[in-house]
Amino acid sequence: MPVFPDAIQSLVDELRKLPGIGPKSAQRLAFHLIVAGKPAINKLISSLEEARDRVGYCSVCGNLTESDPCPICQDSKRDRTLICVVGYPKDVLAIERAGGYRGLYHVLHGYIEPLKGVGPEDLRTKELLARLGPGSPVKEVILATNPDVDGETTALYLAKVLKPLEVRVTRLARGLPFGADLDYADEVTLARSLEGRREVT
Amino acid sequence: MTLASLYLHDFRNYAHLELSLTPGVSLFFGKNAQGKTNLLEACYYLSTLTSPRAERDLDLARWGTDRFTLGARLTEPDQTSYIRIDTIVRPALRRRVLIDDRPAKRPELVAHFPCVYFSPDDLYMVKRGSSLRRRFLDSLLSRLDPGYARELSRYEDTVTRRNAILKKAFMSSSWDKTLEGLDQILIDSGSAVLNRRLSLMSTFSGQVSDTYRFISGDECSVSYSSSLGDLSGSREDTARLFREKLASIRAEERNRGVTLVGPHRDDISITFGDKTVRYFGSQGEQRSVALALRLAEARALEERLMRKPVLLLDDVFSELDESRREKVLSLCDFGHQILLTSTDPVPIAGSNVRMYAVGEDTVKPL
Ligand SMILES: Nc1ncnc2c1ncn2[C@@H]1O[C@H](COP(=O)(O)OP(=O)(O)O)[C@@H](O)[C@H]1O
Ligand SMILES: [Mg+2]
Ligand SMILES: [Zn+2]
Repeated sequence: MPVFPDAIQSLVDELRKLPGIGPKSAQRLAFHLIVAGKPAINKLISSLEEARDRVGYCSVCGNLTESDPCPICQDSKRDRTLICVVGYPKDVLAIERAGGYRGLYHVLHGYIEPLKGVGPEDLRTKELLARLGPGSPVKEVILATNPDVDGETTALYLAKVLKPLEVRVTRLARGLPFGADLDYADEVTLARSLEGRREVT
Repeated sequence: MTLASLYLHDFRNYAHLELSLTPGVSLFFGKNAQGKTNLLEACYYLSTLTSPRAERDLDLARWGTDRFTLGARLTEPDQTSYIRIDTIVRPALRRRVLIDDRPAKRPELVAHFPCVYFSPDDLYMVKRGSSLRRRFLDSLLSRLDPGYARELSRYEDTVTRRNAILKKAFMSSSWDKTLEGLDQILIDSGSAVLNRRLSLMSTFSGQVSDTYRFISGDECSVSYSSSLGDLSGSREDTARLFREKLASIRAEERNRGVTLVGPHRDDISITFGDKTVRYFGSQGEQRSVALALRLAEARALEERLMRKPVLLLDDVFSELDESRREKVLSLCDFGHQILLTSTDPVPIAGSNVRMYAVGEDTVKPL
């Protein structure tokens, strides 16, 4: 293992923390940036700062946004009787890309993961219930969680909690491969499983 | 179907090996730790994308390398086909499988080139606790039924999550609700697993009795024995039984912090009359039962896939008596190709036997 100057080593260490970046890619990226020079690095720094300062979470749905509430929550043309519940902001992106869905979203920021000790209270479940309180226009909640056991567990939990409320609870049609991530599903499959959603019993 | 040639690149101790084979019996002999098992392991990997012994593909790449390639040429009277598998083991596992230059998945591979691997350790399937017998059944089912592995892993994922909650010292009402959901998935996936196991056993138990009779001339019987009790009903009945059972042992599960019933606790019972082979069989009888299980595996694969599996006999020959050896070798006459390893050049009569010497990281036909 070659030894780098400390500054490069700490850059490599930071890059390695990013998802999908192994030690070799981290080195490649670090050298690329340093060779690219000041202007390129400054541009990256300023876009990182901008993202840090301007992007936050929507206080209604939990999606990433520059304005609060987010453009989707503010859009008067969207169907306010429908809420689609997803695990992460990237899932909103996947469903929007698939097209066809015109309702609102609710981002849980995770799934129930008993193996990591992550329980229902650690997710944005209370916020979801608040949106469904008395006088709420919502008629249907679509549980679009990952088709793995944690996603299924989360959906079943929510279905139980939502049961006493006067709202239809549906799940995506199976058809997504078990264990696959929602945001890896291709657009046609995703659109189809949204259309073919079924009531949870 | 004949495995007509094998190609290994950076697999285990072989940097590069090309080997021609013929129908009938191929006998590989050589001293210990020369790469005999590695050769059969390569065949099995070409059939199933798994090793019969290594837990991780990482161990299969030749030391100092990050990837390996395996190839096979298969001939039939009217056609030739090729399998090629490239596996990258580092930094992340990546695999490319080609049958006749077209990308293929595991079920197509198994159907194209079925293999059965026999090992001296098969004896433990008969002698020891239930987990090796379940693993045997699961491995066979996942090759016969591509949907099985998915349902089984859904079930196993559910068991580990359920156990994590059962271990909690304090059960909040939200964890309790979560557990209710997990029970539902447990019952759903568990019944699906049981259903498939039972449907296999309805033919498989007869096949084991047949192969055991073929080897030893004696009778043995094999049946599925479930932690849920009697499963003769429909899938709905099974699900109901599962639910009732869970309710009745909830307190004990909370005490012990594990899931106590379900297909992960089931067993295959093997008996001579009313005697359990595991406890009362002689070592020789137990070996014959292990052999019978593998031969029945070959038969089950053949019936489903309409192809004769290649039999990979690793070191088991030395442990069989003369008459059992002959029985096994006679399977060539029924169209099975046999690859067997031994530490000595066992004298085998017959014109369809070819010998190969294994040593110094290579294999030489004699
Ligand atoms: N990944 C590997 N790379 C190189 N050599 C290996 C690897 N794995 C095992 N070996 C070597 O293979 C030999 C064991 O081969 P094996 O086929 O089990 O022997 P046997 O002929 O007794 O069946 C050992 O000498 C071991 O060092
Ligand atoms: Mg060996
Ligand atoms: Zn919003």
